[in-house]
Amino acid sequence: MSGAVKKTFHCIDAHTCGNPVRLVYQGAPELEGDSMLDRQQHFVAEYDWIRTALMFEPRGHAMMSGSILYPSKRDDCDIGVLFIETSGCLPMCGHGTIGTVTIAIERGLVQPRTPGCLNLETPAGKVSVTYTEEQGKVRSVRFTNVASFVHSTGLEVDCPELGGSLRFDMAYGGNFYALIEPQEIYADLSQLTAADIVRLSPLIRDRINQKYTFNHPDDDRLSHMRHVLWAGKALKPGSHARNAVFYGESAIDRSPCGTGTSSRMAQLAARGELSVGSTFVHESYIGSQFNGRVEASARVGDYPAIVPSIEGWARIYGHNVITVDPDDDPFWAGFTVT
Amino acid sequence: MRITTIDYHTGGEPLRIITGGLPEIPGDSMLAKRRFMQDEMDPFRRFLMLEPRGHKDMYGAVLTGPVTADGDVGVLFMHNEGFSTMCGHGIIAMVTAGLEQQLFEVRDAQMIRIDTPAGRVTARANQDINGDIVSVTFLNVPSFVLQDSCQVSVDDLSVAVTIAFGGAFYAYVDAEPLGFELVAAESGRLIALGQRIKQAVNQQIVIRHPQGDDDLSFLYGTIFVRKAETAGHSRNVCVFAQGELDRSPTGTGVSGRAAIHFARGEIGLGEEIHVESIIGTAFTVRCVQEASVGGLPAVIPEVTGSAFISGEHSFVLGRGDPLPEGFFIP
Repeated sequence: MSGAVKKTFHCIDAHTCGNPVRLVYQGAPELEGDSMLDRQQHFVAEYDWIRTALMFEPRGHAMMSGSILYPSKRDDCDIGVLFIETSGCLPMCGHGTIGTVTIAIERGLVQPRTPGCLNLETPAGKVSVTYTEEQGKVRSVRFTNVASFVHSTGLEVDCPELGGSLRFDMAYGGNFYALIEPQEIYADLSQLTAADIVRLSPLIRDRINQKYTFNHPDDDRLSHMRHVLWAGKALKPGSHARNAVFYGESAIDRSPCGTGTSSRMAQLAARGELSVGSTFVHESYIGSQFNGRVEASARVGDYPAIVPSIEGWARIYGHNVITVDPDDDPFWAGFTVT
Repeated sequence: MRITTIDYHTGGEPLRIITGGLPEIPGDSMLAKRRFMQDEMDPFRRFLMLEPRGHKDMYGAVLTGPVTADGDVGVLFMHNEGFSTMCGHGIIAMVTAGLEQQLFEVRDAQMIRIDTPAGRVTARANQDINGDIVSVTFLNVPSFVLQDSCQVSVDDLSVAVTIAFGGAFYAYVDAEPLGFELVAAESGRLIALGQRIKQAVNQQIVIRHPQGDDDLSFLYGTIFVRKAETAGHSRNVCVFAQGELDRSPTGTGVSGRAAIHFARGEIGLGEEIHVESIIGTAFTVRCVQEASVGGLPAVIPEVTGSAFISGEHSFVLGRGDPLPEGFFIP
């Protein structure tokens, strides 16, 4: 990156149900544009090195993710959020929203107009959030997600590694997900190790993308599938189901995954297993839980859809001052081992 | 609780140096301090090394007072599984950090005496005309070959391994016959096979330090070796602890390499070799002196590499956080 000079970034790190959220509160650049989507484009074009420096090794790691706050120019939003990930910038991120709101409220980075409610402008649009507080600490955050729907069901993909063909459904919950449920050659999530998931998922993802295309009726820029969700039986009391979401090149979400949970709820609603007002407790690979709720029914293009909300918790674990010096450090912009 | 750290990386491999918030570590030797940390303070290691505060490939250092009359500083090293006995990339980072951040007092930047669980390591900072540290060179503990080229059965494979010590014991394996280029895309397979080889060696070969010290008598990792694609001598990929994959060429690992090549007559005293890592970063190593360890011929290796600051951190435990000791996904 030309023009990069030594920079110091001040970050507050938290984790949402085990998945990291690194909020950059000092050192991020001014961005041009009226909307957060415009500003994200400016960031990607000119400042992507900030993302790689803060997310990749040696300053971050394969599972790192984060956010940057900007004032919103929308009258109906309190603050704008840019999501930064190892895989790029995401228009919307569920665990990132929960962690970002927790940090922003606890550290006074935003003043909500109505205590307990916050309206975020994300690159994907407005996201409404409620949160509960106890003695100055945010205990839980619930966000209302975008309309989520099932795109197609009963699709098949070859998986000779598991000994045959895998059936899956394709659903959207802010991102497209290939939903793989237990079946003949995949008894349950508990039969796969983390290494298995990391090895098999990118192969399956490639084969699915070669065989099928998935169009979002509202915006063609949303029409791609990069996430594989392995569904399984709940292990913890109170959970309805368990899942592991694979994304990027080698990452398994440590949280139950907000957009993945939304896509799974859309699938269950389409089967009549959930309806407006139903709750759905989803468990992550490490056993942490999100509480989903069907808020309303909706339509996306011709697809019947639901509006889900997702509740989870985050805890702040540290404050980092991160140095990036292109003149001194050959790995100032980070590296990946995948 | 608030624990502060300064993080550096050496050739891409992190070192999280604890600068505050830990209690005193009793013990009159570094091995005794290491044992105390293993027995009484492991939650601190997990808090700082594992997710969500650290990650699978995190590495850490705790600085202590010296345990010898002439020592400048003591150091304990930790990773995703426990506490190591010596760490070369760690020495390079802690010396760079120690001088840049004044973390400990040194009498002479050209002769820094460090007490490690594996013994005395002496380091010097190489500075440019502005006084900036460009690299660190350290004299490692005596390094030796325990067993050259012996066959172990790894499931249905028969693999030739050489066992050498460079501060810790490693099983060295030739990567080429196993079909590895030693590039990042192979990391998952290297980790899996490295762990299986380590397990097989542990079952089939007795690893015993010739001076009889039980705390040093264990196999730390597997190192895959092949010739370098670049002008360098060779490439080293070390898989250690619970499937950690070193991003650096491994300081103790290249020390064992120097001992192997010297024992085989492939390099002479003073002859430098450049060993690169899976991401292409390099350490330079040479044998500066012959030695002997418990009757076995040994060499004193000298290793050079560079480290850079990446950040300063302050870690807290959030009220009600159900993951105070982190978590590990293999």
